[in-house]
Amino acid sequence: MSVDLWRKDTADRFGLAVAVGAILIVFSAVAFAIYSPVASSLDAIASTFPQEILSIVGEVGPGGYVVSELFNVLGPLFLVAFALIIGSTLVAGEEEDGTMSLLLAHPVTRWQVIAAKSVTLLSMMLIATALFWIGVTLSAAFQDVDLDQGGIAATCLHLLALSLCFGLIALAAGAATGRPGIAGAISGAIAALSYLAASMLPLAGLERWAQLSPWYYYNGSEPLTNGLNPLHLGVLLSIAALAAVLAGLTFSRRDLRG
Amino acid sequence: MTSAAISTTDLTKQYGDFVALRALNLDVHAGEIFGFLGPNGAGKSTAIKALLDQLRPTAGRARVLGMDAHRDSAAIRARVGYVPGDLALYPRLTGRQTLDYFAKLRGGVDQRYVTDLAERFEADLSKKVGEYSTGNRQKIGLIQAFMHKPELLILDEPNSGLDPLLQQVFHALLDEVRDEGRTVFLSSHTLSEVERVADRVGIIRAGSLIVVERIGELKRKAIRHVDFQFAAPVEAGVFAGVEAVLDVQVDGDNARVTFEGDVNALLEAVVRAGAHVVSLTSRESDLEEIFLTYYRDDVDA
Repeated sequence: MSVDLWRKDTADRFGLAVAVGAILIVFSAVAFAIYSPVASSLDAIASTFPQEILSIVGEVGPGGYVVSELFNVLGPLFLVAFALIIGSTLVAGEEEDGTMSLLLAHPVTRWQVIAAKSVTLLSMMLIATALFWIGVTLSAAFQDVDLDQGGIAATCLHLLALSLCFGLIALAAGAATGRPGIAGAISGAIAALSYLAASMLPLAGLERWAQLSPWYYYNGSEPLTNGLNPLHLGVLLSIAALAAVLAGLTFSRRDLRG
Repeated sequence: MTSAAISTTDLTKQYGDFVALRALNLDVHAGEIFGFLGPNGAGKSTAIKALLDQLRPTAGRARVLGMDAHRDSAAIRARVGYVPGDLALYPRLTGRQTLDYFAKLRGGVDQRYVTDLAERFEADLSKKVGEYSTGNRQKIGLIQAFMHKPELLILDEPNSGLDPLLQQVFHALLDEVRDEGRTVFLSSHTLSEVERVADRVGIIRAGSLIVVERIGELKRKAIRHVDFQFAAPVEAGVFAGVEAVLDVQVDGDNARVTFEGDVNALLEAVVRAGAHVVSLTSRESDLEEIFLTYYRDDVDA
């Protein structure tokens, strides 16, 4: 029963997901607390940043500089990194530890293992992203920063889809290789390069090429201002689904390590 | 007629130029305890992992409990209990949680039998697996393999870390399994581990199955060494003409005789020569020497 597999894997990592979420809540609270008294001056400084800097740290959007940093850099960085760690170890880690051999001596298919592990990843990201959302919402309310609740929720949903997308790429790399280190390196490189691509290519006048990067579909449509973008969300979820299918295909066709 | 619990046809596993398993043709009958003997690295685990669909053969195929080892793997695994050679468990789960987890993956098992097994192995299920000794971990491995009363047990070097008393418990369990008509496929690198329980033995070396033999026949054919101590120095000629003798080394009143087959011919020769034996010790050959017997047979043929 792969539900039991999901239940065990989720229970194993529940504390970690809550910890990551808690860190993001603290980040939000501190960021808003520091920001509020100096908001106008910080925003003034940020508005003088050249475009090259802004494309890395993200454009200043609603809520000013700190909110933009939270949504453009800190939040995604943490959640994507968390997704990469979980994704690269969920399948390959169990193989490296040697427990996959016993797990797959039970009546579960390799596709069921991939499905259960993918849902585990989704559960982890749901917990961490939900806590981030709560953190931002509460902090904004306490500090009287005027942010659209719908915009925050939409951005968090985009963020969930983005982290799920990279997490499943990591999971697929682990499912294909059985090596968590290699899976982490491959998916980490993809995440970093696509981040640079999404932020740097528009500077070179290559906006269309930036659309190849998953990061473009996270905040290219500026969900904090414009709300949910179903098309962009759909692109991220499609990449995620494709990665999950690739994970199943590669994992079910190869020799188990060990 | 006995049906085959395991049947392989030209099962081959190759890694580049290295042949880990060479055209294995093996039939394990339902209801028998089959010993799969070979030194470390001979291909035992490779064969077992191919049966469980964890490795995909380069050529050939395998059927387990009448089903295709690859296509029907999940259905096969529902009816098989397995202890891997390199057993790894979840260190943060307790013994009890580990068994509960595996039981759930099987859709539930008879908890009374789990308790019974734990008592017989004297397994402490309350501690975390990470704090267990090798022997205690092995107990959990064995309990999870036996607890759903599988039709076929595939045990890869299951004795490691078990003290002699627990090995007796283990052997008694194997006897029960056989009495119930279930099958055991037991791999080992030492003959002594399987000779007490196995009905038949297959010997594998460097990826090739060398022989499948009834255990009694194997022991009868095996090369033995006998050390004689005589009351007085003897001539090497004492053992001349005894058919079973392969080698004689005489040093004064000591003689070391290497022979195969029946020990009676040897004793008769000593009696005929009128030599007075003070003491006699016999040592059975180890696996390597058994290989040599069969290699020599190959060469002779």
